[in-house]
Amino acid sequence: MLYSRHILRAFDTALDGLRADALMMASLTDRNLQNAMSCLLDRNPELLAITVADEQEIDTLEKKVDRDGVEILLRFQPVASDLRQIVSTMKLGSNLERVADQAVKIAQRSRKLTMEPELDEAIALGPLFIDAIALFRDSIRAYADGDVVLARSLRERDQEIDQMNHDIADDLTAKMADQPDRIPDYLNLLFIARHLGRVGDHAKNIGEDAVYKAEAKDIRHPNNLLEVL
Amino acid sequence: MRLDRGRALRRHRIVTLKTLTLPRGLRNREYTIVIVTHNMQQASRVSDKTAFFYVGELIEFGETAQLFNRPKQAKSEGYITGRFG
Repeated sequence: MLYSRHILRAFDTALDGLRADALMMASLTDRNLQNAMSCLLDRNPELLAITVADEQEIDTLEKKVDRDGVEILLRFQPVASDLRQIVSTMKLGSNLERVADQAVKIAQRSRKLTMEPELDEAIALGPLFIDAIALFRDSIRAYADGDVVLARSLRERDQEIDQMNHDIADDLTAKMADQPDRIPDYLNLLFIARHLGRVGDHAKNIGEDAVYKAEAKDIRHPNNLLEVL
Repeated sequence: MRLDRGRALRRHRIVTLKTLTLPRGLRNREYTIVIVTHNMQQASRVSDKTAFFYVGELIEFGETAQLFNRPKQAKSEGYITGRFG
């Protein structure tokens, strides 16, 4: 890029620090999702404690990102791409914190499931986990690399995850009728599928913020009738 | 006329306030005002449209919100974000 660095080196240092913190958050959140998945699929209840500990670190980083973002706004009064970078990074922090929350909820429900006999349907959640984590990773990649093509493709993939979620919910509801004594376990699986659906929603949000950061275009809520004039 | 520090500060504040409020008042009376400034914050606060000139050349002209959020020219972006100038 022709003008890549700022005249004020302190501004670059502050922006680089903000980005590094956000990417560290993303890395921890990714690990949290992996651990939540292992907690369910490998029936490893000890991963719940690690997931909770990582989530607390993510919470701390979220506050740091917000605090540093506001400080940069105050000190440097950024405009254009710099302003968009700060605003979108703060929103990224919020989305990452919520994804980490979902990971903890998944791990909590998975731990409960490990205390009961294994259900085949738990393994059936594997593809949903893999798709949700892949979507999340691509959203981070789109954000970090400014890849708007990838970012714009996330909405469709989120819809696919929503559809998988619906199908799993239908399947689990039918199983509940067959095995009423396992209803609490099936409900836990149902909620895990729903949490993964929320992970997909947050990944889509991160993609929307990536587009805003790169192109200053707001692609949220494309079907809002109030905005279709 | 020599001003003491307190009076000078008050006068400075009055001038700043006038600079901000006068254009808005005149705009309501359908005047067009051109302000030439190096002060980015002032330009973005008071104007409806902004033109960016660099070394005597018009680089970009557009709505203020657009120019300060999504400039079309790399040179405008570089200047208003403090990468050169």
